[in-house]
Amino acid sequence: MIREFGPNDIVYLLEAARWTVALALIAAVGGGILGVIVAVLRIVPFKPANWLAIGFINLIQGTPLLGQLFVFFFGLPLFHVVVDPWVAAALSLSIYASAFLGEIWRGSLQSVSPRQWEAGASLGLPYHQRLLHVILPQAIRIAVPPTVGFLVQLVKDTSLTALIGFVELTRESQILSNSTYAPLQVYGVAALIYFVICFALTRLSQRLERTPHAAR
Amino acid sequence: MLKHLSRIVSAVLLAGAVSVVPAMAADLQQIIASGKIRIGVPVDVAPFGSMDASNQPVGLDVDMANAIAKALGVTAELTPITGANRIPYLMTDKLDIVIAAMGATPQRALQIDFTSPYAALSEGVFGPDNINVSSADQLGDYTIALTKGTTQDLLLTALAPNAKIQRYDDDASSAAAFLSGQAQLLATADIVAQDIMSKNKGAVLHPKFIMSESPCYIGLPQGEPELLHWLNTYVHLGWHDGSLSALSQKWLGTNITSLPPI
Repeated sequence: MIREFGPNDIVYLLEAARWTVALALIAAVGGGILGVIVAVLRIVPFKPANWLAIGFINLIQGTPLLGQLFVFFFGLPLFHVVVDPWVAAALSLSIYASAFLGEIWRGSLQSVSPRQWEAGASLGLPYHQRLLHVILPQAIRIAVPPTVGFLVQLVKDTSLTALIGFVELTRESQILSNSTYAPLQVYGVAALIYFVICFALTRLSQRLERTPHAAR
Repeated sequence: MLKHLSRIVSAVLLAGAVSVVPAMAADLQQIIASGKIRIGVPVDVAPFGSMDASNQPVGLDVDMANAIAKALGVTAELTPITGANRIPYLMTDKLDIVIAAMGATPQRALQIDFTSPYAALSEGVFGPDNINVSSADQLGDYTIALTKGTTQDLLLTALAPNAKIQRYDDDASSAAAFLSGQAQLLATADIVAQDIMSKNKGAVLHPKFIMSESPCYIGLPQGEPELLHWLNTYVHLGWHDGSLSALSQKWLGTNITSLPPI
């Protein structure tokens, strides 16, 4: 009944890690696009847009991702909106990521000195040009480390999609651990795979930080 | 404040999602017409369901699922489920039935239907010889590891409400807690205790006391009388022709006598 932990199991874990990477990529891209919108809504000089963004950020940051997944996958069908696991996972992970990325980027944009806005204005640049050409290039540099930090977190958060049926790295580990009763080996290998994924991201961040930026 | 508020809102949303009226589900004729039955099986509860060396689900519940599909003349579409999502899956019509070593409780029966039992586990508290315990009220200061939400959790919590119980997510974690010394005793199924002993040299899991024979039921959405009746008929016949007993013999290593039907 309980079988031995073998080399094949490492292959199964690697196969499951593909889902982890795919889910993290979707969340990063979807969350990135939505996050830009959130960040912009948060800082534009138009109060109702700010309130909308603040409300969204508070709602998403203040509720557990697990609950959001649950609502999307099991909640919507009760109102006859059928969502398949991919849609539910992509939506909830992207929305979750956007609330955090939006705040990170808002902070980065606002950490650029107000003098820079004024300098842009004195050159006669309109608002959107000041934002795009003066503030954004400087803000991006500031944003890289916290963004990558959050993405590393997001890679590990994808494990929550096990609730809606995804057999990603953590869920596969749990399954194999219960088939072999060798949790130390199974979770050890899984931790190593997570480390490789996250370490690669961190290295990428360090490289991006060193890249000389045109704006400077 | 806002964070607290949104937590509360999400909790209410969650509770609502579980308790709202279930969606329309496929009854027996629809299953036969569609040519497939969607069955949820466990893959992390050996011997009921686990992954074999080629990463395919095997176990008592998997055999049971395939036998039911065969008897219906349809193909089995097996979906791995977890303890947390098996009831939501049924209530939102993502599965037709769940065969997952599931125990019945009055609370669960408010949300889904249960068939008559198809198997039973002998569950107890196990540990080394130097621990002198032979009933639940002698547990005292000993720490007992078990898997949360399982029937052994319900049983032991009722028998010994003041015992030091450590609840883990799954059976392998509970076993690891016992093996690493985080807990002195392990509440589990007889067959699992024997398996852990045979796999780990030096581990001693001798029965301290047996709590009960806890039956396992097939779960299905409410409002499907045809399917429920067919499944009950299938289980009933299985007890008579000995096929359920053979299934228990194969996976649990014990012959069990027929259990009272629902």
